[in-house]
Amino acid sequence: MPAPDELDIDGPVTAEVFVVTRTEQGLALTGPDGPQPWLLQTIDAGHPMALVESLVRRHLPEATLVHSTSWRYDQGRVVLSFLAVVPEHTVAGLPSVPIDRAVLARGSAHEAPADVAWPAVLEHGLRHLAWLAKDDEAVVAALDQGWHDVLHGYVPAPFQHLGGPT
Amino acid sequence: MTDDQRLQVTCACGWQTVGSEAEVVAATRAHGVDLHNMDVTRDQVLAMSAPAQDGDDERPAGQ
Repeated sequence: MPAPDELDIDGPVTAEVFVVTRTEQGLALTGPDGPQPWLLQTIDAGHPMALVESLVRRHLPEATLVHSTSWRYDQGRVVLSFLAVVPEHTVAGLPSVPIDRAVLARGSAHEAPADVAWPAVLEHGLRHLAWLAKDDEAVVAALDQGWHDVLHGYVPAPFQHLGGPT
Repeated sequence: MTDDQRLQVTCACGWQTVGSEAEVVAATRAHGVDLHNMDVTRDQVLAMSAPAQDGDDERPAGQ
């Protein structure tokens, strides 16, 4: 929770973008706002997807793909989460941190998790992207083989033997 | 507020700016629009500003 006198996103819906890239060492979190979730205000911005796409294109014009991955209710507002995949050479000058695997936040059969930290959101997003990389032809085509190889590790083990999109 | 009073503004994302009133207002408004899609007014920036702490003068606006 930011201090009251800090500049902070306003409004009932916030967009949160995880800018991820693939390096020789693995996946890394980066972005024009630093290696953290990049928060965007959505008030009067129209479709959140168009807003995120616009901001990503402005700062990262060579982005490979932008995809919504989840939403959650956090501190009185809805947070829409997005993944932006970018080539490593386009973010060479930006700070980045390695992405470690994280434990997913789990709720019950009828309730959302009580608390969701952003590493769990990012883990969920990458698992979602791993599913899309096998199921969505646009995503299959957009990602290079290196990305497909990395995302294979995010596919649940019982399904890793399955091939491409069906 | 005097013209030479140095102010600081901190964003929830960690970004911080220090400078004169005019510098801080300009840098904060640019940061808000450019990175967060936030169009904040001069008055809003000043409302969230604080006198710069000792040593902050070494940090240029926008860093």
